[in-house]
Amino acid sequence: MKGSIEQELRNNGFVLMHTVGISMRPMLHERREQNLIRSPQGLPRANDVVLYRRQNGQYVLHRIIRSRGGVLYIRGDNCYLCEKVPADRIIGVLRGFYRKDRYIDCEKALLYRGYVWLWRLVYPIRYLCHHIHRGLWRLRYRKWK
Amino acid sequence: MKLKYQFVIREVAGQHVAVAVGQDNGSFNGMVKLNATGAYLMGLLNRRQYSREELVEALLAKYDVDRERAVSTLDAFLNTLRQGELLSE
Repeated sequence: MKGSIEQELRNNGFVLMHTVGISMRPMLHERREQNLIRSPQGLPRANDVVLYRRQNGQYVLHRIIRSRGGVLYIRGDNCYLCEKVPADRIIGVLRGFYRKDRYIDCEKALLYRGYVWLWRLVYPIRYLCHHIHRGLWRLRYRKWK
Repeated sequence: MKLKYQFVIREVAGQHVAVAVGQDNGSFNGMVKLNATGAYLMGLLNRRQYSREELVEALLAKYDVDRERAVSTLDAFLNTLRQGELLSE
């Protein structure tokens, strides 16, 4: 009954799983959506959400920002730093997800594509807001220390 | 008996799959592959607590099988759930 994600992907070609953590907010929420991951067919493209395994064994589901010479630059939607991941470490690609009773297809759904476009467009603003907020928080903390 | 976690049952690529949902599934992060009968039984157990006899009756009402086969199918299914530590008695 129990098998690793890699094993399930090899046997079935897909896994259905939820995520833990906040790094893919506002798209994916902890233990709420059921994500359909399929084995990669060829090299994943920019904007694909991919599953890979870090060297410490942790599974990560984040978005490809850009691809250069077999190296993928990957970042969670709620993160501000990119991670460099060799393309051969990709285990699966997010093809869609179930939210309540609705299936959102990552390849076809216009709303999803609009979200990806908008979220990447406002990244510099989000980055700035995040760092201003963090700076203010540090100043405040120092004042009361 | 009932399920330890709340599940959502989906049909993906012709295969029934159950995934635990909600905040109470901290120790279970995976999927359960099911055939049509398993999906039916899992759907029942997902709703409320059932006794073994009630599940046998439900199988007999749904499928055109004799009692002996319904019991053996149910027992095999329940054992699989127990092995996966998904069932609370």
